[in-house]
Amino acid sequence: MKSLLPLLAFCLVGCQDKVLGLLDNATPLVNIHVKVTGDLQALRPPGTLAETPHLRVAVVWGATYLPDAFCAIYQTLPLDPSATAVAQAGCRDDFGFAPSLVGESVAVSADGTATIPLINLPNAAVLIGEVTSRIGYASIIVFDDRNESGTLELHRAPGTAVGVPGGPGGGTGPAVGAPGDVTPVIKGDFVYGASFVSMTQPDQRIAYLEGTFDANNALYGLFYPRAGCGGPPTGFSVLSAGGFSAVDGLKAMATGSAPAEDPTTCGTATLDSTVTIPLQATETVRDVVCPGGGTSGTVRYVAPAAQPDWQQPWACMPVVYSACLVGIALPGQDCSTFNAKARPSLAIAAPPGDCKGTTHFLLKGCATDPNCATPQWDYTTPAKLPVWWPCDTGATP
Amino acid sequence: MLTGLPAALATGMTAGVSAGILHAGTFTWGARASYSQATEYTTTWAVTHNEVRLRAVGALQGRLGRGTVGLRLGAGVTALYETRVRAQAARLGDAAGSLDTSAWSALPGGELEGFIALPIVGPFGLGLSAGPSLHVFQGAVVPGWLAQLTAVWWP
Repeated sequence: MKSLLPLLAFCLVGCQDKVLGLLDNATPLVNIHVKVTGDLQALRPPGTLAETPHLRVAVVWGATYLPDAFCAIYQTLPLDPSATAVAQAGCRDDFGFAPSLVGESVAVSADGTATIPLINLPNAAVLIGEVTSRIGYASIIVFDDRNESGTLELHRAPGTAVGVPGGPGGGTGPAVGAPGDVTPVIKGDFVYGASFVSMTQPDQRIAYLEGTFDANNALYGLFYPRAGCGGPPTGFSVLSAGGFSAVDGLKAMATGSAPAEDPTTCGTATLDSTVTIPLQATETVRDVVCPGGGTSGTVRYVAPAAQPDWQQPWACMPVVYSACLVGIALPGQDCSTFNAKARPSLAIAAPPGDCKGTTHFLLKGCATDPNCATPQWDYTTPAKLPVWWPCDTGATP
Repeated sequence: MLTGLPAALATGMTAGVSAGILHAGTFTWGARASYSQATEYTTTWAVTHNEVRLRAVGALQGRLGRGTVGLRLGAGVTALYETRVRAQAARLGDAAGSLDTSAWSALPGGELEGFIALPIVGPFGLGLSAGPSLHVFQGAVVPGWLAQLTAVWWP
């Protein structure tokens, strides 16, 4: 017993330093160094100048986003003035970054620098590929944390039916109070910059690769592609690319490929490098906090059960947006049989808000398939045909 | 067999094996040793504690029918080996190893157990004991409990 006493005394003061138990003191997996440049004050919208800005940066992992073919075509090519008006008012940048998961966020210091500690690996929902080789991309987003929640809240597009608001926040919102009062109704976060805004612009993106990059993996060629730039290293890295034109992107999309980047603009760096983000007007970068489309990212069709807001741009359109519309016949496709004149679908832009949106009304069909064998709705009968329906009523092509 | 609250984890249950000797007599003494393990999780770590409890014990015991009942006070050191594995870090490949940590520690501790032992076949029988425990971890007294089911031999 006597020999145990010195050990007991020693252990009371000196044996317990290293055991941490359930202390959740996670050291960062990596640190992302950010430099924000520009004058925020000059970019702040009217109605918010009295607020104290809380500028932060956040890591936002990108979603798998399948562009709305209507938007991709009519946003890029001047084929139909009414359709172009709908696309300009209701379509996000179809080659833009679409957010899926907001990760770590830190405040920007007075000198414009910030270091984001990544504590967690991105979860499988934001990675593309298989367990042995999968990849995810993130954009570093600069935002004014107006509601002081300490994180970035993603926005959403308003509904097409009158009175269905989008949100939260962003944009100047509808006016309240005295005429000329442009105080935002919903106090949401304003976005002022992003390292990865669109594939049609030069970008710096955070890449995370598990396993080795497989250049032949078809999925990699469709997920924020950097054709011609080579793959990233395993783990975290900072990739850069110069971007491609929307027209090249559209043509490549029609054939299921990715447009090549200028190799001189490609870059691969470690996270020791600094990601520089210039501040820009929130209206020009707001799309990066707007999730794209429905849960599947594809076009969702809606039954004409309620009259839309006719104040917004609208157009009668084909149901199927074939590559024939842009003069590309895919292998085995005969564009002479494509009926581009049948216009049984109503495309209408969502009311102006934080996020753009377009709704496709269809007299007969399903939410995800206009030519489904068993339609979820059918308004083609005279008894059910809405009196306000402005488009073709014939069978869908 | 031994089960109880881990010495230095705020939750969970440690389980393992134990052995000990106890002299005959009303007021008597002996020694016990045990090994047990517990694994619990935080949002970023999987924490495993391997505990070796070394105890000097004093006991007050008496006969009750064919069995023996008593009260046993143990005091000593709990040697603790901790491994912390970063959640999901294996996905990082070779870089994951540097994130994991391990550490030794020794904690003063003790238990006060009530026990009962009953001979079943000749000098062999079963014993059951349970009671509160205390450890000193990072300067604070950590209360807990302990329960043991043992094979007993009366030589």
